[in-house]
Amino acid sequence: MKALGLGLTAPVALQLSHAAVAAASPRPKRFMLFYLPHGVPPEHFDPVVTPGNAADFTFTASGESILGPLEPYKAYVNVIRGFKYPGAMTHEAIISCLSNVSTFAGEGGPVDETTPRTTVEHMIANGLGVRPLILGACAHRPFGLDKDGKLMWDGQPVAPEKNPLKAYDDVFGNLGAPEGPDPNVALREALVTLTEGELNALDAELAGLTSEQTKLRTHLEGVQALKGEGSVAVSCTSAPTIPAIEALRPLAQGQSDDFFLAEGNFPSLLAAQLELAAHALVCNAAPVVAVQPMYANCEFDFTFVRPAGDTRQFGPHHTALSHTQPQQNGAEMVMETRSPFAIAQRWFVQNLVDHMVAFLDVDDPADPGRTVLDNTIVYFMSEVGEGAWHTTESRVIQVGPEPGPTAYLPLITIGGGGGALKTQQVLTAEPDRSAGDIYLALTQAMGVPAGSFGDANTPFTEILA
Amino acid sequence: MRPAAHWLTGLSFVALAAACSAGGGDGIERNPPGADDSTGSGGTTGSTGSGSVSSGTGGGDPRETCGTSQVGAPVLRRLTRDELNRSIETVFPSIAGAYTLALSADDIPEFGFDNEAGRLLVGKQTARQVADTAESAAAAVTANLGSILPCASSTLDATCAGEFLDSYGKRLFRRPLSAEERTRYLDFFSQAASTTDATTSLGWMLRGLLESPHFLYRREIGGAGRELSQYEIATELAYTFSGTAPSDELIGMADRGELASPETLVQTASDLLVNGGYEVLQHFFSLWLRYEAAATLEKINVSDYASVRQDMLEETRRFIDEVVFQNGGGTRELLTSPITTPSTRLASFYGLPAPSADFAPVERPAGQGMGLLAQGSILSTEALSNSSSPTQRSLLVFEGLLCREPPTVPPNVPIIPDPQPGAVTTRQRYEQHRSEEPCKSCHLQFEPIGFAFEHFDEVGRYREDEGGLPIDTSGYVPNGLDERLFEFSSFEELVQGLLAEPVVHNCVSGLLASYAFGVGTSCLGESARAGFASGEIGFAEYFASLAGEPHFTRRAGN
Repeated sequence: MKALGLGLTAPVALQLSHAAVAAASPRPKRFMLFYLPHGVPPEHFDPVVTPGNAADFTFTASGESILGPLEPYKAYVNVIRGFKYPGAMTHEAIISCLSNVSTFAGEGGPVDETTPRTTVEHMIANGLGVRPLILGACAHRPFGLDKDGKLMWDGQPVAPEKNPLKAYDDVFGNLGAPEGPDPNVALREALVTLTEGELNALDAELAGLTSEQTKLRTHLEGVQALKGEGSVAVSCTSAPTIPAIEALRPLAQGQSDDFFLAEGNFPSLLAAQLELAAHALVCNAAPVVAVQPMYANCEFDFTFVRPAGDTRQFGPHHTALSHTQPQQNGAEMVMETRSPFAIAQRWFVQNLVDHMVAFLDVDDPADPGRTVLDNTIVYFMSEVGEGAWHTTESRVIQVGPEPGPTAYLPLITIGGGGGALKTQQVLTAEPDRSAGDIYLALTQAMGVPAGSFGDANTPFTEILA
Repeated sequence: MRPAAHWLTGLSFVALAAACSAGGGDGIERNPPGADDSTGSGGTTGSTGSGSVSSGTGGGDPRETCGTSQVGAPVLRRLTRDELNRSIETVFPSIAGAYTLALSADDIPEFGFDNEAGRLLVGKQTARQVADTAESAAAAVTANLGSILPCASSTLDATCAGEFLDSYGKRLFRRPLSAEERTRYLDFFSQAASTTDATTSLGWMLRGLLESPHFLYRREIGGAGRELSQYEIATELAYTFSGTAPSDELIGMADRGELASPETLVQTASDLLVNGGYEVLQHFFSLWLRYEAAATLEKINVSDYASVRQDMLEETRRFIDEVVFQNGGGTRELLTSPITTPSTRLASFYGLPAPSADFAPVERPAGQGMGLLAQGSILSTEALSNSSSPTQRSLLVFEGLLCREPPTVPPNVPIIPDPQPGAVTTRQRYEQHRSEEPCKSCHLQFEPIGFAFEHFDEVGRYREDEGGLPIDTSGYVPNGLDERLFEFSSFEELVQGLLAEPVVHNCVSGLLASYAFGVGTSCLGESARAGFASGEIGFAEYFASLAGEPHFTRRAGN
């Protein structure tokens, strides 16, 4: 295993406190967050469970079977149902759902984008003393990071890195650096101290200008966080060759930002980001990763996922697909209505499996005899439950005379979490529980238990081993 | 349109100052304050009876007008990603393109700009990215040190490092370093030199300068009386009107205390705009209208869209340059100009006459659109992948020209039926969509505007009919659910109707002032606002006039 130094020469590798990981568990643990934009049609998502046996289920018998690609891995999967997000507006719910802090400022009021929030992947990363790798494929609009593209907060909005080649260099570029103590550590510390002094002096000078002092104090916290970055326990000895990255490289090298937000490049960017994330986890170069494909209400045309011979309209992901309402025949959903949306959402899951999960199903270099998947938690989520209704809690879908199926938030875990998770379960919490309870359980599984997430304080222990 | 190219040379600050807005009947009027040093609240938003207001930058109402210009609060303005990049390149031009800018896209409000002071913060991610950028830039500078710091070629010692601070430190901090600061940075240089070579040590010192709050924030604080210092004014002039750090010449003017009178400030602003500063205003237009998104879109039924979409962006930039910068145009000229500026390939794509050269002006055929709203980049952005979008095009006008914010999208929004070329028009599909709740009460507040654009397809090409079906471009501009500002029968009538509404001019000038000052406080730029609204002055002239406003040189108390 190679221990990277502070890595303060460019490119800078993401860093992990070796000591923190060693103390957290004898087994290495990784965490990954995957965001599925804009919900699912439940009739194409819900696993079919053998009555009375929550461990006996299939993903391949639900219409288009959005989770079908996970069938070979279902021994690693938990489907978690019956949870809710805090009160939120619509697309900007993405800001609140992973922090369990509402964006809803009251009927007709402005969206609360500014209350400091810390989302679950950052909570875990902070606990481990690492800097998370936050990746995005077309994760925001070209003009900037706006509310519909903000997935991650750490008191501040966090912009996903959209260029997989740059992210690759950041993660693996330092593997050739000499081993041993980094002579620049002391100078880096001195520089931070210099900046701290300037910030404190300016803060004192601006006494009484509260909002400006708040800026400086936020800045001070950001600078001080640089001091806390430790060394990385990387298990790979050389930078890996990543197929989707190499396929992208000749097209993306030297391109402007527009290339990494362009609709036509989206599939190849997502594949590259997922494979990069997988290799970062395998090598333990970034033990906490998040991937945000698209912003919440992105209108990319998904005709490209239409099966051969299928003549139906697909169209923009948000308005034409996710907002398609179901039709009902008695208590049964008419599956055909939302088949295109389901195919689109299954495409995301297929990508997750092909470019991520499959790469984790290999021997763990840091834990011989087990796979990386054994030692990882992939948390899969969306900002709403049912795309057409923007549900943020469990809701019975009814468009006809009879009640239809219940739309839950589509939440699953994949992986064993280093032995911390009990898997192959379909679990339904009753009544609606705060999603913060899941986050409490996840932080506990990762060895860095958080005290609370918003109003949540009871870990959902049913997923814990 | 006014005579070409002389819009700034005849600028008279006195005339501008005398042309204060009376404010009557033109959007939202606030009673003139009793004293001109009142702090603009930015929160006084009169009821419009027409839905909530688009906040522009920072939460104020851009439409609001006052009797006299207000003075806002002291503020630290973090450099935007672009400003930081340009600052490094301005101070060290020889390293342009030779270092990595690690900063992410700026956090941006839904209806505002990327330079909003309240959002530009340095959190954990930004602190790391600033450090990475500083490291990369310092490496580029030290690799090229011979030309940047001649004394380094002989002896790079503390004296030579002090020269670096006196020249480049001053440029980066936009003011001379204090004796204490100078000592602190030289001590850091010496500390580094005790462990590494002198060149690397200078690189560490430069990293300190680039990570300093005195570089990262534009300071608009003022002294005890909240009068901004000469260096604060020089910095404000440089970033507002050229988008980058002040030149040696501008800092020299601050050294000599020459940045005092409003006339000098407006003239300096004008000079900066003419000499490379137009990019700042181009950036305003790109954020205001967000037309650059066209470069990232696909149009599934128009296979050659991908080959012309970049040309569309350049067409719009050239159009703005021609109308606003070369001819001093204002809102009226921007919205009614009969020309556009396509490449030869793009003209063929649109079916327009070929220009004499790529991006040279051509006249549009009569009745086939005019002005900015007929630009292909805008029409493509405000459309779906497979059809035009009356909804999106309505919202462009609703938000961008009327400064209104649409109601929050409710859950359970039914989808609009798929296009049926030759069977149903886009208008018919959309009218069906909003014939019932929950769509009706929301879409009726804005959507009748968008039908005016229906002669333009999803990539901005003019169409006489829609798949053989006649196109109806009639509609109205709603004022709430039950009132109408005016009715129109065509795109051209919509444009002319908008220009007759004072609120449109107040919206645009309010947004421009918000962009200039980086805060949403209302009424900071009133002196020349009436002149802008009446068409006496254009965008660039109004923008430059903001340098003469009281807010430019002083701030309200604590």
